[in-house]
Amino acid sequence: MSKSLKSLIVVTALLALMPFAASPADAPQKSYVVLDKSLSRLRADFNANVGKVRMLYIVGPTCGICLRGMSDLQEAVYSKKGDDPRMVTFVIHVPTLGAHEANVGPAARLITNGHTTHYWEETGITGKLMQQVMGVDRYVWDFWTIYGPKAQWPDAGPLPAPDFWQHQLDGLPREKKLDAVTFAAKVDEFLAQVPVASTAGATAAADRKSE
Amino acid sequence: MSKSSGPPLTGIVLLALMPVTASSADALSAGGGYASEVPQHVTIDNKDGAALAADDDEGSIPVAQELEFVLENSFRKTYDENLKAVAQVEYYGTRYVDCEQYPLEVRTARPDRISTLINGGVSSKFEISKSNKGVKIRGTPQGLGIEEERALLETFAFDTPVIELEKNRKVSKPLGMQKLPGMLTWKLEVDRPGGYHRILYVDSHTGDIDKFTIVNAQGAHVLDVVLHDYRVVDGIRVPFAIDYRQPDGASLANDRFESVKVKRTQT
Repeated sequence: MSKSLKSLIVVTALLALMPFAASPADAPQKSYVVLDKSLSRLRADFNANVGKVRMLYIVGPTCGICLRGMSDLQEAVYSKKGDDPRMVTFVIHVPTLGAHEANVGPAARLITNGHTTHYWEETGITGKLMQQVMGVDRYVWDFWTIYGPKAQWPDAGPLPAPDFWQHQLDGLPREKKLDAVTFAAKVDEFLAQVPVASTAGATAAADRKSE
Repeated sequence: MSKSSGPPLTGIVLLALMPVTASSADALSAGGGYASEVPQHVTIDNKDGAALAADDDEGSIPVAQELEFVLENSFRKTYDENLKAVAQVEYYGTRYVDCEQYPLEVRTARPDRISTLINGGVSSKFEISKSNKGVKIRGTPQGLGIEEERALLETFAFDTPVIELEKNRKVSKPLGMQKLPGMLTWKLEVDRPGGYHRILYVDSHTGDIDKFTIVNAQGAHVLDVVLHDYRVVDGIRVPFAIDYRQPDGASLANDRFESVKVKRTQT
């Protein structure tokens, strides 16, 4: 191989690697995860936390009433329980009321918890899937659910039906309207099914491993 | 260049271009229109972001249809309807400034009239009032400066933001939402004649004004006012506690009311 050809290959290879090398430093750190329409990442995260109490919320990041729901749950659940490793939260932001991806970051600040992940789901299919699961006649968002420690999301199956849910939609039962105090009490009921020792043991083991 | 080196080199060049192609696709996707899975009735046209209310404040969260949500607050309806039949509200209490305390009377009446009397004895009586003839000031205020007292009076509104909005949708400019300690609020800017204006922080549950900031004509913050301990008196909601703070958060004074008298219109 000629010297000039070698140089050309090296330069081209370096050019090829440049975008990869530049990405981590240049890309701003996102406070949320971007989901594709298959929701595979959400499913994986959900199943990775079997054995814990999982909350799954479908919200619009520009919907004031959704934001109020997040704020209420921050006060009633997260600010009181702290980073309890037995509970994991998934907040799925969907593109209702003019929302774009840029709106997720400001809205995500309303729930601050070490075991909460915010997702931007641009297709809005999450609400449609939840609508099918719930068997209701309207698109489901502004929707707040709890899954017990045994719930699983089968690989080829639909989103599992929640063990408890509340909402802030017109046309769904009034007695199921989001009430942060009731919701927090329900979280406590589910947490009682998860022994503190098992997660504490796991945490201690992880701590020992990192030492 | 030898002929045989063609294919591998082509591969490398293609590899070099691949991330660029993928990035462009991602960018297109991110900036794309509405997803088809969201039904039309829960979408709004917001291609340029102009449909959302927000300001430049770091803590503000852009929201859609803010004024509609403020107006639709069902919690407020009875209280606001009752307030429409009220002619005067009088507050009697105490102003606390550091370790000192002064008897305080605040009288409010339609339309947007207010007077404040702080009685610190014969030599330190302070009175400020606003009527349709303007603002009159006598004496030296306690806790707040003259400019702050004047700004409070000039921006005073007898009615709630909901009633004001019912009368005129342009009276308030929506600025999004903001979290205050323990609560999420609607943020509204209300202009008043006289150079000062208020930025209101309206409780997203009760519709009460939890806080307002007074800004002068130059855009400088003059005063932060926190209202709390709301109670129902004769069918309307009134704050029994008001805290005044400098823009840097330093406390200036605290008003605590022991009684509030509501006088209804003759009709």
